[in-house]
This record gives sequence, structure tokens and C-alpha cells, in this order.
Amino acid sequence: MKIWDLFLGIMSAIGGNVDMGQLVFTISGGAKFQYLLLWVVVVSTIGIVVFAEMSGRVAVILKRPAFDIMREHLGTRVGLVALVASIGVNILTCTAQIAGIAAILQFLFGGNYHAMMVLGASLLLGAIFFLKFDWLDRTFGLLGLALLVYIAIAISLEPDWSKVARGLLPALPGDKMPGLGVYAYYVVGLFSAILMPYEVHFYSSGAIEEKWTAKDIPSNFANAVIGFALGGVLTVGLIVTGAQAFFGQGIDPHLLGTVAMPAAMAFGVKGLLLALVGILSAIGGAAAETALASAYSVAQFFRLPWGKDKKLKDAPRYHACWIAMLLAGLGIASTGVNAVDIVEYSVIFAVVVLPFTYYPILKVADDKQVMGKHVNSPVIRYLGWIYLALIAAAAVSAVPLMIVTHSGNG
Amino acid sequence: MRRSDIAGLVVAVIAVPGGLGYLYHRAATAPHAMEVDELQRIARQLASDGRESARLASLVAAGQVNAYYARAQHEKISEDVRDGLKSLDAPPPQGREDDTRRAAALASDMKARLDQTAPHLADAAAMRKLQSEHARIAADLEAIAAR
Repeated sequence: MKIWDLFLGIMSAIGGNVDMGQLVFTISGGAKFQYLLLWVVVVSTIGIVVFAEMSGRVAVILKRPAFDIMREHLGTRVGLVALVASIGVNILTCTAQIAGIAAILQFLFGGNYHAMMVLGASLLLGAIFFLKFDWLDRTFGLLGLALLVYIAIAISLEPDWSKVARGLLPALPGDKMPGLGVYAYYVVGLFSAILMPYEVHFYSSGAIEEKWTAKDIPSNFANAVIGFALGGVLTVGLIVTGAQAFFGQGIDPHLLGTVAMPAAMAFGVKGLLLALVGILSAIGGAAAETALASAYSVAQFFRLPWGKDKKLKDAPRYHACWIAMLLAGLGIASTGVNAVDIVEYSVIFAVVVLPFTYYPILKVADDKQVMGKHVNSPVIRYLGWIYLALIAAAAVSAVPLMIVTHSGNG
Repeated sequence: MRRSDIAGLVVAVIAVPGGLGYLYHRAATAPHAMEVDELQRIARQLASDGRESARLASLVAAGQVNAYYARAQHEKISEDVRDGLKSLDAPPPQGREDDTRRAAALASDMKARLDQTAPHLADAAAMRKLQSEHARIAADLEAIAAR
């Protein structure tokens, strides 16, 4: 891998690492708990770095992506349940992103919401169809760098940096904050939003799409560590922005447009437009990733031909699958559902699927016979199992927390 | 029997009766009064809409947002207020009838103002007036939520 490709890969990982779930849970979390959720970003970012690097390494050595390995380790029946659950979560995520794209296009260019939805889905379909895999990833990822405006917003709104630093350590919510249940819901939601399973499916399939070899393992490491870590800095910026703009103001940012409002507060129209472009790219990229991740999952599970850059006639069911995902998302979004409500459901249900995704990857990456000298180091092995325990705890508590807290509304 | 089959069976034994029980409970529910915490939650949400539209109006007045954002975001807040109003259209909690009526009246007032905003988006004075009126409505709704 050339230095330029590595640089582009890292930049795309920063811009492409944030999706609508993260935007919603970070801005809303900052509004409700000020800086108290910052430690969750640190913990979750280490988790996604560990598992993204691991899935990339496994894909490079075995030349087999995540879902193929899942089927082998979980068995056909449990694997099928995991597949159906993953697709269900991906449809919800895709729906939310398409509704979000329509809303952002409306903020930028006016027009009818439903017309913008069809336009957005058509543009997305065209982008996935015509762009090669690496340029699809880079286009959305690099445009998503516009989200870095949120770091500038966070700084310009002059937070109390000592309080920000204290937020990096876990603490209980204070007097003017919602109760412990809502706090736990946001901890689980943010954790899941950062570790969304489609990201690992897409990442490991991407390693095979881009024909990585054992020589690319250091680049895989750099890509995962630097890209996701800098993406974590952006996520911190989003929480601080949410806290500075909305904490203690009585505003619950549950509309997508509200997420962009701090940009207008800090930098006026130019800042707002930059934030809208960043959000559009981030959710557009996430919509493409979820649609493709579903196609990868189905094709890999049933051992059908797959590949973004394969012609229609060479992988017809793979291509039909991502097109069907986009159409399903468009169909559900056109019923007028609130994008933010849907994304909350998708993030919470995704956490239930997380163990099915991460356990098989960890098992294979720990197997010296399979991985040879590229087996997990002791540190990564322990981290992997600690995170799997955290993921299992989050998976068990996610849905009850959603019910008890009325989706975080107390 | 394999471990995965046993795990699947355990999940099915817990999830299926649980799911059916929940669906039965939902389908067989008789008309009942809203819980107090539900009224508080709706009032808090409507107050948030009021605070947000007041903030938006101040940004519009200061020329800090583009025209399409100003218009579309007002519409989306209005839709949210409409949903809140719909939730208030239920038997009120005992002893909180007046609060429920008052919350509905405040929300209707806010929605009417939001629906009339578009023609005044270029009028800074009208936007500042909207800002102060919605801040007042939000404060009243917050008082209801806090009771």
C-alpha cells in the first residue's frame, strides 16, 4: 500500500467513522449529561480499533470476511439468526440515513421532503453503482471531513476544559441531569453507535475488495488505530458541542436539524453549510455502507459470488441485495417516520447483534493454527475478551433500558 | 443436542411467551387515564420545542442561518409540536386536568405561530417577537412539567 493510499485511507476513516447514530447520541448526550459521557467515547473507540484491526487482519490472512467466519463458528442455524437480525438492523439504519439525507438536502436546497428522499436515494444508488469500491469509500469519507467543523465549534463555544478532562473518567450524573437509568441508556447507546456491526462487516469485506495482502497488515493497523482514534476526537468534539450549545438550556436535540444548529450559533451561515455538508456525507456514506454490508453478509453467508467491483452478471444476487436494501430504506422512510427515532432503535437493536459479530472474529484471531505469526498478541487477546464481556453486558441491558427510560426520555 | 440448539431453545421459551404476553396486554388494554409522568414527559418535550424555536428565531433574526434551513426546521418543529398535541389528546391524569388543558392550549398556540412563520422569516423584528413569545410558552410548559 502506498503512503498516499494510506493517508487517504486514514482521512476517509476519520470522516467516514461518524454516522447518524453517533451524531444523535453525542449531541443529545452532551445536551443531557454535559461532558459525563466522554469516557464512553474513549472506551468505545479502543473497542472499535481493536476489533476493526482484528477483522482486517483475519480477512487478510484467511482471505475470508466476517460473515463467512461467523457462519463457520456459530453454526448454520445461529448464523442464520444473526444474519436476519443484522439485516433487520441494517434496514433500520439505512431507513434512518435515507430520511436524514432527505432532511439535509431540504436544509440545503429547499424542495419537497419526499422528492428529496427520492433524489437522495437515486444519488446514492448512482454513487454505489458507478464508483469503484476505493473511491466510494474515499468520496464519502473525505467529504465527511467537513464534520471537523464540530471540533472548531466545540473550541469556539469555550468549554471549561478542566470539566472536559474530568469527563474522561466515569462519574454519576449530577443534580440538573436526568437519572441513572437514562444515563445508562446513553452509555449503552453511545457504546453501540461507535461499535455498530456493519462497520466491521464493511471494513473486513473492504480488505478483501482492495486485495490486501500480509504486507498490508501494518497499514491495516495504522488505518484502524489512527483513523478510528482521530474519529474518536471528532466524537468528543460532538459531545462538547452538544454540551456547550444545549446543556441546561431545556433543549432536547431530537431533530436532525437541531444537530446542525450549533454550527450556526458559532460560525453563522458558512459554518451551518459546512456542518450540513459534513452530516450529508457522513450519513450518505453510512447508508452506502449499510446497504453494501447487507449484500456482503447475505452473499458471504450463502457463499455466493460477491464484490462491489464485480459486474452485475458476475454477482447478480449480491447487487440485487444492496439495491433491495436501498429500496426498502426508501420505502420505509417515505412513510414519514422520524429519522432520529429510527436511528435510536437501530443503535439499540444493533447492540443485541454485536456479540454474534465480534465473538467469531475474536475466536479466529486467537487461533494460532489458523493465524500463524499474525495471531492476537496477549494484550489484544485480553482486550478482546474484556470488550466481548462489555458487549455482552450491553446486549443484555439495551432493550430493557430502552423500555424503562422511554428511549432515554426519562 | 448441540449447545447452540439449547441456547436457541432457551431464547424461544423465554421470548415467545414474553412477546405474546406483551402483545395480549397491549391489545386488551381498556381506556385509562394518562400517567402523571407521561404528562410531564410530553410537557418537557413541548417546552424543548418552544426553547428550540425561540433559539432558531434568534438565529434567523441575526442572519445566521440560510433560508431553506430556517423554513424547513420551523416546519419540523411544528410537526413535532403536532405530535405532542396528539399525545395530549387522551384522558388526563387525575387531579392534573387543568395542567393537561393548559399544556394543550400552549402547544396549540405555539403550533399556530410556527405555521405562520414562513412569511415573516425576513422580518427580524417579527422573529425577535417570536423568540420572546416562544420562550414564554416554553417557561409555562416547563412549570407544568415540574409540578
